[in-house]
Amino acid sequence: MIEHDVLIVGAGLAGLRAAIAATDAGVDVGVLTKVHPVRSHTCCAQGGINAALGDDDSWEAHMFDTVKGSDYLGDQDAIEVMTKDAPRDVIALEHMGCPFSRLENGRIAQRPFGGAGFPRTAYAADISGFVILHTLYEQCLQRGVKFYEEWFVTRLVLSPEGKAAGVLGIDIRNGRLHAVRAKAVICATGPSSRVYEGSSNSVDCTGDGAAIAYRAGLPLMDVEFVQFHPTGLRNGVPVTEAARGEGGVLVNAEGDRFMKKYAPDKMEMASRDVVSRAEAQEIAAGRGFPGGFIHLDLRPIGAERIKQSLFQVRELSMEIAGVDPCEEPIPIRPTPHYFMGGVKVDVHGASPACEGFFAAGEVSCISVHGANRLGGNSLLDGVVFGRRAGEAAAVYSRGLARAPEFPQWALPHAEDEIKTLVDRDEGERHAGIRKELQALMLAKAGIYRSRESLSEALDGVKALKERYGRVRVDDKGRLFNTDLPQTLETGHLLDLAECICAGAMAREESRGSHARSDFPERDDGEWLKHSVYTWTADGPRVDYTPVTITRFQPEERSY
Amino acid sequence: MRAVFDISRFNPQTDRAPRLQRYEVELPDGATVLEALIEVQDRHDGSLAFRRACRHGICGSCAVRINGCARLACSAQVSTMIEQAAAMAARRRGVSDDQVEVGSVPVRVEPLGNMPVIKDLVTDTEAFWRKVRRVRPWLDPADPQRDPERDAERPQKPVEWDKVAEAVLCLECGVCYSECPALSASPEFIGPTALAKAHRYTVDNRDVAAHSRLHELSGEHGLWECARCYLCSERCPKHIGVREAITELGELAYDEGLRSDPGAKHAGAFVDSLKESGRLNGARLPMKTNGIFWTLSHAATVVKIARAGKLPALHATPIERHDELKRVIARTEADEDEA
Repeated sequence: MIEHDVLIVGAGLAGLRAAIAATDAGVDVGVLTKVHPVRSHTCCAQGGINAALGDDDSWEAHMFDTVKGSDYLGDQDAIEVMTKDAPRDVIALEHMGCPFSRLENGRIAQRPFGGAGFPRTAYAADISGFVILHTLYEQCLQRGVKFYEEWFVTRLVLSPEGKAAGVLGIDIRNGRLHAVRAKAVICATGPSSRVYEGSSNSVDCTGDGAAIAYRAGLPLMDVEFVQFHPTGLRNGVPVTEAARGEGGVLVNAEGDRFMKKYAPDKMEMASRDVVSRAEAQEIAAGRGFPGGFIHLDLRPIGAERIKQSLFQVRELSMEIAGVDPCEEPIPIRPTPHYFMGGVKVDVHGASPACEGFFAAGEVSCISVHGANRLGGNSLLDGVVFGRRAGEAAAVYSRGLARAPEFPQWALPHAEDEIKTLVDRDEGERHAGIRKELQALMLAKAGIYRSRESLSEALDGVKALKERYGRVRVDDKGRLFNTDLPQTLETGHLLDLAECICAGAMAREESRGSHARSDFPERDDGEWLKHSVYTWTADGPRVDYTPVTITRFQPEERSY
Repeated sequence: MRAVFDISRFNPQTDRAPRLQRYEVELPDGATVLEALIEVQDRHDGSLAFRRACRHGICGSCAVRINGCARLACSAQVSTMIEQAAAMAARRRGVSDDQVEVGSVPVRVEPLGNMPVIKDLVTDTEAFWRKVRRVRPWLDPADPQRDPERDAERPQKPVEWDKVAEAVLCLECGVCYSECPALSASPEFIGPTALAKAHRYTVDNRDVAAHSRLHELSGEHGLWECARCYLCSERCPKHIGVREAITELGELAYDEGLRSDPGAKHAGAFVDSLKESGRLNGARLPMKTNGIFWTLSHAATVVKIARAGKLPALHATPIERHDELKRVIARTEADEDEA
């Protein structure tokens, strides 16, 4: 059996940062990932990473912006940790070789981002996530970290006393299912937004880590909060917030800079939930462009700066929308983008429900983003809490003489399950179920929800789960079978969708990204609390836990 | 839009050789080849294997050969590829483009070249990544013990950043590696991707490992094995001047005195030859490139060439206005020394 002190699942920003931290702490690390590390979704992050680096900025200011951005649902102790650690973690990335864009004096440059009172987003043109991902991967190469590339995790395995004992994973290349044993498991599998149609996420962002943790009995938190990025191209590929930070404006079909109605001070630089809702309202009121678009006009930035700092955006606009943003506005619309919720963990990435289980990055919920994440805080979340989880997992694993008991039955049991699935000759394939799910979730559990729409969504998800129970795979072979993992992914999406619908239906208020048309106001008296989801055979049980408030009392939120 | 594809299918456990399988798919206008592959997998045949992730040209997963040329499937428009397939067919048949109806020729999709195929469009990238690792692709600074709690970032001026800006864009997608004819001829050649990566760190002002990296690259199957065809630069989906980067590595290595590889000697012999006469000295060039033992071991060939009366003179007659050329060379060398 394969065995490591610390086993990391996922090799994006958080996973790789954890791998570096744990390796540097002197423990043996293995990283299991379903795609080669540099193919991870982190490479899609364009705009940058927030840190109060400037002498005239402060972590307190960064903390306040983040708390306000979260619509006061973020836990302030965790946000304090993140904003305090931000400068040293961004500097550490530079020390590792990350090519940040620079000022004339050679120091790291920073640009303005939405919902922030200060230009504190460090960046590398508009390929920030991409260069950070490659830098971290190369640091792992230097350290000789062991990677299991193109392995698909199917299950989190707990010891009889309920400690994390390892995972089961399929080596996609030969189809073999393996037991991987570890003293500590760090889950860093990234996003889940493929629950929705038109998502900005990579095709494989299917919430695998969240789903396997949930199925193993670990609680999820706040998954009803799904961020829509305000500026997605027709196929969901996002245009970075930096495009507005650098001076781009939003215009409706009447030629009106409509954000003045919704956020008179910050305009386009209000937080993402505010801007996405404004766009949705303009489109619904018939003030959108044909096909349901808003125009993002970058011409105020000037062609030279666009070509230098937003070159990828320009290329994508030309390729996907057929417009050169130096010459014409780009048609955009809100696109499902980010899960504020995830596996519930503390500021060390540790699960309160399962010893030895850690999570970091988008799959986790600490919660630093509350009901709405600020742009530039996701890379930061991944790098700060990836490092912290790596350090904590190393300490924890050093405290164990041997890995917790790995139940003998786990592997053969899972092998049987997979065999049953692969041997089934009748039934429908997963792709149709996935497409229906995504369309349903976008239509009924999207930017605006109501009891009625969510109840339809929940019924629909249950019906799809029923159909999924009889799903069939086309590929019966073992060699690089991608049909099987994709089918399992669709099962993960269904579980998460069910949680989103249940939690969103229960939460009778509007807060951050969760906008109930039947409950349009925030209700701090009743709902200033986190939703906690626990798996049961009948669907998710939703409980609540208080929000940690330290410095900033909830106020009315306007931009 | 209805589109026809010939997609390479191969399962080495059951097939003797790859075969092209035809698929007809219905696609929305503006669809990419990647969307077409996903459509085939979703609706026609779930056993088709290919890699994909971001679908907008930044993760580097979906590089395949389309109509014979390596590129990212996610940035190849189906309509453009259909036109290309027809135009290429016209050329093959020796007829004008309008003789071949657009849409009548399937778009061919095959795995990358210069890599073994695992299944269908999925290649084995083990050697590819091993070569990338060989160039030690990480920052090797003078002060590795910098502490992020105390120490500021290492300065890098915008002009210095500009030097790495293009190089850091490398997706490591394998397109250049697939197309490289030097690799086809010499599979151990380190290849364009690893060289581009080496260049990225070698020109970074914060890095001090240039010499050791260049030393590693100046040996057998290193940078001098490049055939200078420029296909890597031409095909790079991020428009990186890969061959230009290799040129720069060669110059840096030469200037560092790393001249033992026949490739480096060949480059030196060219310059000597130009200084001497302004002509390429066909007699001395192979001797200087390959050394005295090689020359002696090829004595029989030399005799044969001499008998045929084709042996070039050891001393070439200088070209007209050779003085001017010499001044150009001297000036160039002086400029380089100054830089």
